[in-house]
Amino acid sequence: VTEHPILVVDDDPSILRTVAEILEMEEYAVETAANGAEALQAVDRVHPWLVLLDMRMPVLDGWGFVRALQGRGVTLPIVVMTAARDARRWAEEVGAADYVAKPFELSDLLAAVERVRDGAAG
Amino acid sequence: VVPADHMIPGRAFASQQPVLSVNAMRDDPEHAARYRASNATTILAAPITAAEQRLGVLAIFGERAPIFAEDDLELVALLGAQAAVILESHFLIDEAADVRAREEAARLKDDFLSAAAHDLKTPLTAVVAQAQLLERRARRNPEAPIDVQGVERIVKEAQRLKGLVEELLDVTRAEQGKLVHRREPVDLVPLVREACERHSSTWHTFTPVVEESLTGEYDRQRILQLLDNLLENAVKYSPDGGEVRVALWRENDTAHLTVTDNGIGIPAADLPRLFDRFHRGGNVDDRRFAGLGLGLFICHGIVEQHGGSISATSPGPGRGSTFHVVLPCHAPAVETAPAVVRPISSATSSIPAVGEQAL
Repeated sequence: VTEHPILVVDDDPSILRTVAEILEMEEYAVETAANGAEALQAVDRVHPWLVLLDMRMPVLDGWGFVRALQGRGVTLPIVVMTAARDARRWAEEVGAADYVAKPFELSDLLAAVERVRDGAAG
Repeated sequence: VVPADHMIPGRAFASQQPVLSVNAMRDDPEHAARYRASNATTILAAPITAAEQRLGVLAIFGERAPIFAEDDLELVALLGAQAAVILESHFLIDEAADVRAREEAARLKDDFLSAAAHDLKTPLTAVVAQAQLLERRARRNPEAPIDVQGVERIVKEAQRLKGLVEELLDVTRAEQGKLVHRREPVDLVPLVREACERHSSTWHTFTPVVEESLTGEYDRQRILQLLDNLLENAVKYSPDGGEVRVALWRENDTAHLTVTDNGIGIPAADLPRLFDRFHRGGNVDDRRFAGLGLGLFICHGIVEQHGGSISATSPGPGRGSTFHVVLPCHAPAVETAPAVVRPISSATSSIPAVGEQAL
């Protein structure tokens, strides 16, 4: 689709690794970050076309990350990934394109990514 | 004292009308002996009734007639009505307090269930996603070698789930006084050093300040759990990173452990309830800090069942906190006697007034 990667942000190393491998299997380029601060650096470095974003993270959480992006005038489609009961509301709060509630089915995650990809293409 | 259906105040209650008797023994000869015994010659009684609910009777006794006149009936009826208002407002206040307590308990339970679900979902997410990934790979390419790392990840996350379930069960064990089992000689120094190494990261440095050795009779697994809990909290509640100081020293026959962080601190109002089940600090934003509110409750159980104590101090929000654990080096001789088993309710009430002690 594009040379730019998907940026996956999650403080849980197992989830981060697994989500990255799922996307790589579908031949997406992937970059990972363990918190919002690392994610900001990655955005500057690799210019992702999509961010899969966990919300509750140490150092800089999902809300802080989105605020920082807005502060820099960067707009990026975001898919929120959270185990919180308020997944939908949190996704709305940060103006996300979509969300997947943890624990998600592999197919739901890929479908959310495809929706953003196809929306962006069409 | 006066049955509702008889004696003169009982008549006021039954009839819901004020009653004046200038000669009680004559008006109610059946109970003459009792009136005589209490020197009650004349009686003025009015029902206390609020919103058609009979609350009681206001009765005024006089030793000699005629203290009261017919006019006083109106006065006593008025006093009865006033008493009704006061009693009713007390009932309402009690009821409101009950409702508040129930709402608070329901809210804590709700928060707890939501946090428990969240904590269980995180490893579950890794297990489900990783298992489905392996499945999809195997279907696409049945000849591919087994992804050992992927399988290991599933095992690790499944064990994390098991740990969480154990933590939930520990709550019951803490309440029943069954956390601590086998006590054996344990040197706390290597345990503290290893825990510090285990929890150190790029963001958080743990500095152990320890003696050469400090051996006491402890349940090794529970002490490890205590250390992990306290050090994990120090990391979790220091989101900006920083240094955590872990000091261990001996005083007479007692081990002292302090864990001091520079994190978000503890508001004074939370200190007295810090070790309560489900309690989470007022400055603990649910969005930033996942948790069940069980860690410190279990820590308190572990320490108490070792015959020790745990307390917390904090200079205030944003200024870090210190947890102080005191553990006697030897098990009390009477430990196995049934009399030592504490009732469940003591789990919270026996905590020393941490706030006062601290501030």
